[in-house]
Amino acid sequence: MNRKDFLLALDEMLELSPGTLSGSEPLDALEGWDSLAVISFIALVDERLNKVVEGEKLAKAKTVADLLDLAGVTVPA
Amino acid sequence: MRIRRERIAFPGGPASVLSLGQGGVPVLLLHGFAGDLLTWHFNIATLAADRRAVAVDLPGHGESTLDVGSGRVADFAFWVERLLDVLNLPLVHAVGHSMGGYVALSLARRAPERVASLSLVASAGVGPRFDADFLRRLPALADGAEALALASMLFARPSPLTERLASVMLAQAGDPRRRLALEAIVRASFLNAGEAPPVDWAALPMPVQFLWGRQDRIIPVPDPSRLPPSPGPSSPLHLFDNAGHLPHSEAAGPVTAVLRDFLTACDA
Repeated sequence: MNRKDFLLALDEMLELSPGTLSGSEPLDALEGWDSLAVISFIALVDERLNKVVEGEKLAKAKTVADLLDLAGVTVPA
Repeated sequence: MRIRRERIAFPGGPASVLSLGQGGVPVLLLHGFAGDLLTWHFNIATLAADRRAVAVDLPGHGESTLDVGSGRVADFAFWVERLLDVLNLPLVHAVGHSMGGYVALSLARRAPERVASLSLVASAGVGPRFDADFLRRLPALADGAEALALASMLFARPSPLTERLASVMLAQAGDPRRRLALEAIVRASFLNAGEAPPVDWAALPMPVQFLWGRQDRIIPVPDPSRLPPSPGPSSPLHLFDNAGHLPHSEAAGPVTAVLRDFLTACDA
């Protein structure tokens, strides 16, 4: 899964229009980023990338780009 | 992975449940006092990779009924057992944090045939005297400063979660009905509790493990004399560095890994 696909998956997860997220968005500016979204994000990374996201690291994430880093999605769009 | 959050009609008022995953021996997650099922938000999805994972709002908490009955935490085990019937879960791995640990332990005592394993995270009921003043103040927070001060006590180190937790706690205290429910629990279960009597671990047929943050200021790490006589593969005590009373948040990765491995081992 490349960066573009992952951003689209995050759009869908947060019920945003496809192509909304670019990576620079602060998480606290996203209305849908809450505890349930955290659960969905960890599940998404586990299912699509077979990777376990550690919650204590996720707690420190400030932007969508930080989520991409946690997911290990570094391939440019 | 499908995430299902529902409020189930239930005698005495609704039960709020969050379910993920499927199959296997399900894991039941029980939160602590003044928390809710979302306390497991860093853990539940990973646990659900292997099995169904079900987190529950206990009475007086989250979106479940505010009817706490007698307010005795041990009685919540009866409520949980009835909920397992409704959810058609004859057997679960029980994981409880703090007050939820006491509920899980009570469930294991009253219905051992329904508990495949028991994981007690910074659990009440195991032994050490807990910080009753902290619990007494929690439902009746005066302002944001007090909320922040109490929330800080839950963590070993400054945490990005502290502020968010403080605002949730303050919102709870501002809800008169919830405040009454939580205060009823404090009166009935915590104020005169003192040190818990020793647990007869030998009477529990299922594997038991203990998980604790080394810097827990609310319920300190128990003295080994309070634990099963031969801690080992079947009843280990796991201590987590740089973690306070919320090791499943502050050390979420290691705690989830320990839970996952233990549950898998106990499936056999």
